[in-house]
Amino acid sequence: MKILLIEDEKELRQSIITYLSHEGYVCEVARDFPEGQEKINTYAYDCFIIDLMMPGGNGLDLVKEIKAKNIKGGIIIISAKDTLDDRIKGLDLGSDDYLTKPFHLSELNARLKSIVRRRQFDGNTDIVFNEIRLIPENHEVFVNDSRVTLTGKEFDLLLFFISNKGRVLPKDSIAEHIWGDHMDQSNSFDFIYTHIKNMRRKLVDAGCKDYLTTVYGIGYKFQTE
Amino acid sequence: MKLTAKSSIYYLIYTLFIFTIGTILFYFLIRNILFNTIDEALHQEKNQVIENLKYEKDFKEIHNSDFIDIIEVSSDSKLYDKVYNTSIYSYEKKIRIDYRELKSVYKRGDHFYEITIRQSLTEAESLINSILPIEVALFMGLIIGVLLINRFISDKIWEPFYELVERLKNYDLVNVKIISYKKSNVDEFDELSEIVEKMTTRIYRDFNSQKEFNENSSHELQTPLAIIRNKLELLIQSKNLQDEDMVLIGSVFHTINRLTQLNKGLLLLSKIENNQYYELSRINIGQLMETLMVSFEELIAERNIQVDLNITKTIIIPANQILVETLLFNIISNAIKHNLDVDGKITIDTISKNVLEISNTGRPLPVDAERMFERFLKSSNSEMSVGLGLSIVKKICDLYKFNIKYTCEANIHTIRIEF
Repeated sequence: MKILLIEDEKELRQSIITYLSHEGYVCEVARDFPEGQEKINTYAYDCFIIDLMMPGGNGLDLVKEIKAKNIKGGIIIISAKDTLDDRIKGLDLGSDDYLTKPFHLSELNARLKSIVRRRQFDGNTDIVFNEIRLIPENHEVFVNDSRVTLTGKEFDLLLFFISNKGRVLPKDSIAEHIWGDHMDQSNSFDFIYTHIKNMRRKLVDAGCKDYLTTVYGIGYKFQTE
Repeated sequence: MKLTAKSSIYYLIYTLFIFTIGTILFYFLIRNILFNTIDEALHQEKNQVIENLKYEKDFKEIHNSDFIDIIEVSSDSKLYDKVYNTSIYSYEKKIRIDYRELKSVYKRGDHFYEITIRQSLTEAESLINSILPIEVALFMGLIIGVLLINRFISDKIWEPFYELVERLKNYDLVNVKIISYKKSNVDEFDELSEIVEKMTTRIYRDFNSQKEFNENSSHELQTPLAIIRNKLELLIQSKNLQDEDMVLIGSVFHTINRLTQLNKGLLLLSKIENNQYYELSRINIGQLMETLMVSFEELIAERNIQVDLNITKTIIIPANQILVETLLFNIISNAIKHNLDVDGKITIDTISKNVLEISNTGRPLPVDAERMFERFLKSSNSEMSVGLGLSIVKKICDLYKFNIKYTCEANIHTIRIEF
């Protein structure tokens, strides 16, 4: 899986690449607009992560170019600009997702996976992890082929955990993923805890191994081994 | 009191003073002149009478004439002339009539005669008495004239001034921006208008640069925040961290998130100020409220709060969807956050076609109700809130000129919005 990250901020670039490389992605970077343009036209990628404001040009023009030239690959826009206009423009131009900075790496990862999944396996988007099978379109979960009924939020949680399996997920990232960033956090933490507890219980009751561990002081981790 | 009215009152008081003194002086002056004339006539008549008497051989006393009395007096009388006022009852007219009398003692041979000549004062009095009404009428005329002139002055001459005041009254930085210079034909007003233009231009410029600074600084903060946050996310994946390290990182992570929230709140505030949410649509408040409550459902259930949603009237307003959602979201979020842990209640009512009331049970107010909408005002018990929620609410209400009121009675906190 090959990804092109077009981002001018060095530190941000490094963090994203480090996180995504651990997921097994092959990451290439472009530091500015011309470099991005060149790489888009030279190599093939599964997904483009494009910053909007860059030296040398606007990321939206790259999105346009990708679409105009029918270049294959999903597009995620990452931007410090949070205006509705930009978001709509970006999505209208054909990008698959729009993330506002600052975002959580786990969030970027989850979104990236969902895009890649949608684009790669047409018709078959099931996510399988050991005995767990998720069908995202229907929000259905099967453990050893028997169905487990999860609420919408619980399903979102499970999908988020599996997308970031093996990673330590801070409570804040989880809360933000489930509630969006406008949620007042003082309301949401206990609530997240309740949801996770319920989801965990339902899975274990259905005969699933308890993969979730609490990471003291920070949050949770979905164990892979 | 208007300036013109105030100045004319002083003017009229002075006029009244002058008129009073003038009237009194005029009265005595006219009286003096009239009496002098009458006295002179009386003396002349007396001389005439004396002259006539010289030719009378057999002098008799004259009585019962209306205007002249001649009587003989004792021979030791002194000779004199005196003029005075008197009044005599008239049997014909049944009233007392004022007269001017000249009494003179005259010596003829060895006899002394007293001559009394009188003249009626009726005409003179009527002349004098007509002075007062004329003066009063003049004064009234003057007052009416002043009032009319005042009206003219405030209508015409002061018009540019009142117009400027009106424009200042409606001044706001979002819609009006600068009050431009407008020429009138009065130098003072021209100067005022010019100064107002300069002043509002400066205010607008300062406001703009302040706005830009706010937005830019919030924007520029996003990237460093993103970097710190992402580095921490990478850091916690390390296998070499002890539990106590994790606790430290966890609280840093948490703090960064708070900072991010705060920054987003400030950014939102400055965006509202910069009018970046200009797209309007017709929003059904009741429907929006119902949709919002669905997304809060689980949280409300978690806190065991009882919700009464009484959408009986349809409220439809033209506004920006995102802003109105944010407005209602923040209010509901507050109502949940500051609610009681047991027996909590939230009531949402549509009072009329443009009034929405949201009330919740809660603890007593830690601060004055009037200060609730200030920035960074926090109640002490919720350390996680950044204290911008209600000031965002206020800002949105100000933008659309919604009237928002917060009251707290018997631990029921109520927010009332008039759209």
